[in-house]
Amino acid sequence: MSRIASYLLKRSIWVYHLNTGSCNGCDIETVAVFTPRFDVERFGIRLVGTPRHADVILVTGPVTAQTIDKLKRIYEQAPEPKLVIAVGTCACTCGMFKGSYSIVGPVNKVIPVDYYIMGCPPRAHTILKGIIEALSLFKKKVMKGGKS
Amino acid sequence: MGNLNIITLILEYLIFPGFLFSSALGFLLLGFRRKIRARIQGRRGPPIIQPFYDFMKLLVKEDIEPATASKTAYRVAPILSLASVTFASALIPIGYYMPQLSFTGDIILVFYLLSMLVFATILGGSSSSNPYSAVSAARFATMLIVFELPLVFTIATIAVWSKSLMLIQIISTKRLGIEYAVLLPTAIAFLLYIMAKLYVNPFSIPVAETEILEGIYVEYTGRKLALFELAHAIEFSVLTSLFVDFFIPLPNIGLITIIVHIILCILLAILITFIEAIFARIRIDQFVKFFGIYVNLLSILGLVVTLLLLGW
Repeated sequence: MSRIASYLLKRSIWVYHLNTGSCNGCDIETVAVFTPRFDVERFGIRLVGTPRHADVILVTGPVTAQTIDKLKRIYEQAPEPKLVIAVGTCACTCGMFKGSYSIVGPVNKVIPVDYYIMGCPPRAHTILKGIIEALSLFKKKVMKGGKS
Repeated sequence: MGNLNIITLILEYLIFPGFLFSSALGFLLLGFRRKIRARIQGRRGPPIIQPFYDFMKLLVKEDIEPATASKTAYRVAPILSLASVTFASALIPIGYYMPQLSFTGDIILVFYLLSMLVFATILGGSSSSNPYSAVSAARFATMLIVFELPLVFTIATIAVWSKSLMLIQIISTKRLGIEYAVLLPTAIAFLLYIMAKLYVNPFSIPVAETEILEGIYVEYTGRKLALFELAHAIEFSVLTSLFVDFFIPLPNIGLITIIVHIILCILLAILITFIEAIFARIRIDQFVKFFGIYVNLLSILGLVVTLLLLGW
């Protein structure tokens, strides 16, 4: 049962894109992934507008004091099994904003992150490759959750 | 027809013209829709069974109910939409296969069941306590007022033309001839009705992803969203089958007619996709003006011409 579930989760990936205080560089690259040029639909990937439909949450930017509650809330709103991917150096480590008065920390300080894509900003190819590589983590999630 | 065979009835409801067949055909049509749209845009596109993958994936996801939603309506809406559309699919003849349930006036029942589907969707959208859903439900309700009228006139025209209110008799009275051109305005109006009902692109007002984030389905997750997707797939197959039943004359050659019927459904889906891919979304007021005046006038014209030429 869990094998079927992880197979299906690899075939149909609905991605929710969330900006937690990014400089917009990673957002431009992330949105570029979902343009017809890269054609992510051939992998079954779709950009959705609501965390309720999300399988994968792409988080860009360091977590600011303003967005921390929203980030937590959106994480809780997404149904299990879900993956969180931190896109860009800021989301992974805070990058050049480290130590700023308005920054709480990298994304994994607030919610559990499954996969990190470094780069400032990472290229669209890198993000797409990262999403597809991260899908193998669904298997572990489904096994651990026990519920399928 | 007086005594129904219960086993055949259940089999019909669950397998052939009903649930299994029409959901398979519906997912196939949705898959063709996505593939063709991708090809028009110069992309490779997803595999044909991608909508089925999406549906199955939603079944394994967690089912969350928003705390502020009105629980009963929120739970009932997906089931109601699936039930009504499945019932409609069991009534619609594919090829010349006559469903056991068909009776004089079943065309009116199909009309009510298709309206029921929209009501269920509006119910689900307005009960989920999300502002986007509420906007979407209001838009869909506005659309409902306008776009059900072409269906009424189409049914009236078809009933006058074939002098019957029974779907299977409508199919068997169809014959190719010069008087067939009379149905052209009605066919165009019905095609536009199908597009509005399936909310494909020029009329994708209730689910506009870029404005109101899929509207009605914003709060739905997991199984309930899967039921809505399934209902949408079956609706696609029901509406295209209805178009083929109404307007395209086919000779009765048993199984071959059924296969030709399926191919015609796919061709119709491709036509809808072409129209969808070249148009942008129109606003709700433009929709009301366009549908309320021009499409309704077209369908009324079809009825009047049919009445004048074919008599009462």
